[in-house]
Amino acid sequence: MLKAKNSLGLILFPAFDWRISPTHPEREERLLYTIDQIEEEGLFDYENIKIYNPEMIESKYIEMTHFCIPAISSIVTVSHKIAAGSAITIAKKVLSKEVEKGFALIRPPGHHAHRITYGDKGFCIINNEAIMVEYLRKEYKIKKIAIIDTDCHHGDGTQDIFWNDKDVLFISLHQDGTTLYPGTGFTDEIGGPSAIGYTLNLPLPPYTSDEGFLYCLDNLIIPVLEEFKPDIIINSAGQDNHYSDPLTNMNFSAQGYAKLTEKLSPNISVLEGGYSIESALPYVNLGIIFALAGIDYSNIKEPDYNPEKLKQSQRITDYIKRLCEHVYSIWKSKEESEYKIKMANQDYYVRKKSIYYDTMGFRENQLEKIKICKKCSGLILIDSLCLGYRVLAIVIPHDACNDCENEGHKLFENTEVGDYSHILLQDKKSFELFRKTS
Amino acid sequence: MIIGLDVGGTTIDTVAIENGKVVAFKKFERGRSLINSVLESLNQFVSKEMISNLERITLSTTVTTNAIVQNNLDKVGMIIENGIGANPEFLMCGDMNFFADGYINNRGIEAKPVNIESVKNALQSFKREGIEILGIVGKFSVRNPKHELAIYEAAKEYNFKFISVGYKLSGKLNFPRRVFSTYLNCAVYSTFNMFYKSILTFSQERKIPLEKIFIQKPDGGIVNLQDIENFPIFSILSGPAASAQGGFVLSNFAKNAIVIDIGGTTTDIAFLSDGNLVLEPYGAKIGKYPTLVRAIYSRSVGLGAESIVKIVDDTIKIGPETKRWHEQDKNEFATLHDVLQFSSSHPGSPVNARLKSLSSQLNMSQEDFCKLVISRAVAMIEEKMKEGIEYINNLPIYTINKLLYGEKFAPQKIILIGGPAQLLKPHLENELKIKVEVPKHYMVANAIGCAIGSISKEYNLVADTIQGKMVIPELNIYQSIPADFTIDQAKKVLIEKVLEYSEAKNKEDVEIVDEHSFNMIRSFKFCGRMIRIKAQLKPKFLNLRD
Repeated sequence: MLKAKNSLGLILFPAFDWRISPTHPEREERLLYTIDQIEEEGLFDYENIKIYNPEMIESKYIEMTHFCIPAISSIVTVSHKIAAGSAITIAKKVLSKEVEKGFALIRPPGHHAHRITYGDKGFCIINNEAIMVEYLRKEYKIKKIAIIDTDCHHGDGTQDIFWNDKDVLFISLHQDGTTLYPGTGFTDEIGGPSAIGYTLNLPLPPYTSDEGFLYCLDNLIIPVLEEFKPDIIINSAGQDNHYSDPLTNMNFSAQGYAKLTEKLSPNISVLEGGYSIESALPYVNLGIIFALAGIDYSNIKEPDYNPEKLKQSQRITDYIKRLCEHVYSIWKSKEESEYKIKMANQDYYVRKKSIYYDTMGFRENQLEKIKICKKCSGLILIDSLCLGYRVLAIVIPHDACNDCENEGHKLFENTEVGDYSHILLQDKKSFELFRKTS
Repeated sequence: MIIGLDVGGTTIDTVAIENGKVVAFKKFERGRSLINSVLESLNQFVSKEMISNLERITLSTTVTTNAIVQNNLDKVGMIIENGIGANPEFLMCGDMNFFADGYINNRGIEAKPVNIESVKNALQSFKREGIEILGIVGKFSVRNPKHELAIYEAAKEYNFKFISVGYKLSGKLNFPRRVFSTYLNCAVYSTFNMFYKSILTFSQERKIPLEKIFIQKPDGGIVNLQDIENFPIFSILSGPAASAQGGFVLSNFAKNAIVIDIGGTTTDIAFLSDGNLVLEPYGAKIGKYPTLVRAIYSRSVGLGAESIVKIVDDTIKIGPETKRWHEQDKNEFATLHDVLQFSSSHPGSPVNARLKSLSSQLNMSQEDFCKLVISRAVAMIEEKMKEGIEYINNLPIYTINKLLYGEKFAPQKIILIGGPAQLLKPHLENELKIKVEVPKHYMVANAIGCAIGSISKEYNLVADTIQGKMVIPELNIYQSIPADFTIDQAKKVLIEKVLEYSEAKNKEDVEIVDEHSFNMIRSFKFCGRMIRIKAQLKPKFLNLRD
């Protein structure tokens, strides 16, 4: 029997009986050719490549990550629960050392789902990786986690959830938000007052090729990871940077994805987007699987692959070099920036957000307040208006000090439902959700 | 009259069945020459009366399996079009291998034409090196065999003795297995041919028409000897299939059960899930090669009645060696059979003396020693049972419906067959806390399983309305379809084609086991359908539950 260098766990859950609508890009056909390619490649026959079936996620872990409005049962579908459950299944297999690495090839994706979620946004309702992180912290007491989001779209949902969380380093490389949905992910988005510099964004110009991506990896991501020293590295492995993707404008190839995966060497990868289901996904997924398993991937090339045609311009190369230098300086001066922000905002750090739900065509307005606390990352209060609901969301962070914890509970107790449709308290410390509804 | 013959590790078992009843059976000692033993057993067992009302003879033989295990193989040249994917070096199974340039993609579309000139050069060099047997395999050839066929056409000029093309062996995807299956199909050609010819002689001498002689396949199905001439590989590993099928038909009906066949040398374990014997998802593993040869999923333990029980470094060791290979020092050890019979053996018997000598080495009473050996043996069987159950429950599921509502496999009982079945039954029942059934004729259940073998086949239809093409590789059908072709039409066509091309007599014999229709969206517009359907012939067994 064949044997790979690294043992690898795979979840292949194409959800052949689920779709958003008959012509939606996130549809049943999406992983069909990938599965064909994997089957034809004989991947099931490698002695140490194991295939697992996913499990359904327990609502508890969704509640500890999201505020689902009006309720989990009304917005989260079975397939979303299976996708999030897959992330957890694969995490269990890796953490119990049944396999060294894991890759969940699942649909639908999740990285656009914010902390508060009213429904489908960028094909996402709940955030698969974020839920997995909460699971890992609760069940495996993992402290430092790095999420590297290589999807072509900015991982705005994951960024939102770990915005003020120093234990989760979030780095997203994506096509520049001025040219692509969701229109965020600029270099000045660097995290909340207690986690400045732990959110890093690399907006890349359209037509960036393998060279550009790998440059970012070598010159920013890997050095930052070496300094952060995470206990676990998670790759939000979106595959829509591919040159044939119909929704984006990048020039990444299967070889590039495989090299990136090999260099990054994540413990767990979770599939996000990628809509070139026929010309890209079979080859990119195979490349990633081979790279994770330590199998020679040099013969994986798209049938129409032509590196000359995909070469990026000198202008792009120069821009990316400056970009990496700039972002690295953000990382380097994070303590100083945090000090300045905390000095400037003595009580609460406040930001207004407007979030567009593209799939469903509505907008949410938020006022987010993060308490400046010397002892912990600080209580979070969000006032959200959307679809006629008004939500007060209170988050007691997992590292909360007694003061912030008490303040959160007091606020929940003492606030009258009145104008609010929902008052919700997510106590990450005691792993419990409290709710009051009108 | 139906006659079944099963070649086991120790004996050759024969059985004659008439009107659903076993009318004769006999076990023959297996001699040094396998082919001669088979012929002698047949000649002795098959009487004139049997031939006069003979329906068929089915042979389950290990000749090809043995040839592989003993590396008694033909020299084979392989032309492999590996396309995109893993580095192909590990596929170099032939005595000479050539990697052809070209690629058919996952939808069966030609992405790069095959370079026939370079293939011709390779064929010439194969011939120069005295290679007479050729295998041709391409990636995704079951979606479109164009390149395999082009190479086949080119190879015809070179007068190879035997050529095998990969796409004809199975409709399933799995390129490495297709390569290895094609190679093995070629490599056992001469061995099978020798067997084929000796059976031919037997049939002529005994005046039995060749149409009445069948071979058992590893999936429990049977195939006429003439039809298998170009597919010798389908005659491998028929033993476990015969025993699984024998246990199945002899037992009282069970939806979920485990069939255990304890023989002289090995114990084979098969699984009955939802009323059907579980098959290998891709195919059998033969020697070191995983293949696409459809086979009943079974786990095997090197443990049988003749397994040697001995003490090694103060611990009990059972098998995999058997008594046969230790004829000279019979007094030094006991067999599992001796241990199982302990309670009924005479205190002064030689068996008893041997058990005494073994148990005293561990400072145990004979009784405790025997108990310990048996519980070890049961544990060895249990381990493989558990492995199998876990494996079946972890087979990939691709739909939400199946994930949520699909049933987990949990056996209700064990169907125990094989020589020592009665002796083992109480121990399995006690230790595993599961009902154990030993059916009538358990001694020759595998020969019965071989005799009653039914035709079993799987068919895969893939239709792609953008290309306007439909393939059913198992029936060698590659044809056009209209742009508005639907899943219902596809199901109808598949059933019709199965009836037209093969052994099914009526529609009810063909069962659709899996169906999907995927909308194909390009540039946000619907532009066609990808239809995938899987059908199988429902196995039809002779009613043999007397």
